Amino acid sequence: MINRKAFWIALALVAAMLAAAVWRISLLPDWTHLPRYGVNGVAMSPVSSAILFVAPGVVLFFMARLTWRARTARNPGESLQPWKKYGNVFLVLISVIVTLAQTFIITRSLGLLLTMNPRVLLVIMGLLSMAISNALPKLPWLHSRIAFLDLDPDKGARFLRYKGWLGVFLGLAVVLSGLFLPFNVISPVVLSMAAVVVIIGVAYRFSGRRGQPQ
Amino acid sequence: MNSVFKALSDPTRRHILQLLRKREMNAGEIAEHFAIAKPTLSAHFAVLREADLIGSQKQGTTITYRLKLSVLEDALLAFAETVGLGLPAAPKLRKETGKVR
Repeated sequence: MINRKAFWIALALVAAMLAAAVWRISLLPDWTHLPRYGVNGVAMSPVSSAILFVAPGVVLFFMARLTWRARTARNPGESLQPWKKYGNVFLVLISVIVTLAQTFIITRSLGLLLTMNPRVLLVIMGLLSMAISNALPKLPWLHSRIAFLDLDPDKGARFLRYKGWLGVFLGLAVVLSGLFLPFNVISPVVLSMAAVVVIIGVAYRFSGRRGQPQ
Repeated sequence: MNSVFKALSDPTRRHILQLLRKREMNAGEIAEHFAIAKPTLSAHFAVLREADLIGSQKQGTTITYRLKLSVLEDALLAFAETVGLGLPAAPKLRKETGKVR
């Protein structure tokens, strides 16, 4: 589902993020914790250094997810073409945005860019989620060889539509949280919302299978 | 984006999109819901396809249409329906035994 160009771009960015993470950790007096600064450079409690491996992990997860989806597609035919296009754009966008986030975290932990408002990053991520989810319902349902994960085309299309709307609402909520919530509550709120969206999405996905003849 | 607005401005085309929201349909099934000539309906399909709001797949002599609305386009469709853009919708007539009632 991803072409060679997108694959190498994503892999190069993952390698760069991992190298930057290792380099930053090697400079820390206590390698388990990373200094953190809030709005206007106000020092906050340090965060676990493991945060530096989240961004490359996210990209690797999506690379694996897209590859797995293409491998398990049943009689994809023409349906795979739009997914390939979407997958390439999606992977490159995600890779670029998380690389930016990683760069931002590392530079701020070094005491640089402290005047830049970290809320900007959340707003960008929210907008990205909205853009990616907006296009999702345009894709055809891709049948899976794993019967348990398959849906008929109409239910599949409805599921993609639902997923698209959920993603857009989550993105909007992230943008609004980034703009208006107090800085220290943003992370728990955004993570809780993301978890709720995932749970609702999974519940809808499997409720969609009920009464299915296959 | 202009083509999307043009496509959504017509009530018949919006009605087609609402029908496809329920399930994929072929041209004949869609035509059953309208009392308009098939060439006119084909022209509506062409406008919707040009705006990338529907996708089509040809199997033998049958063309099956499916909805291809992004979230934004879906919201625009709902908005257009709410404010009632364009002319009044074509009457929902069924063709039976070749005669339009």
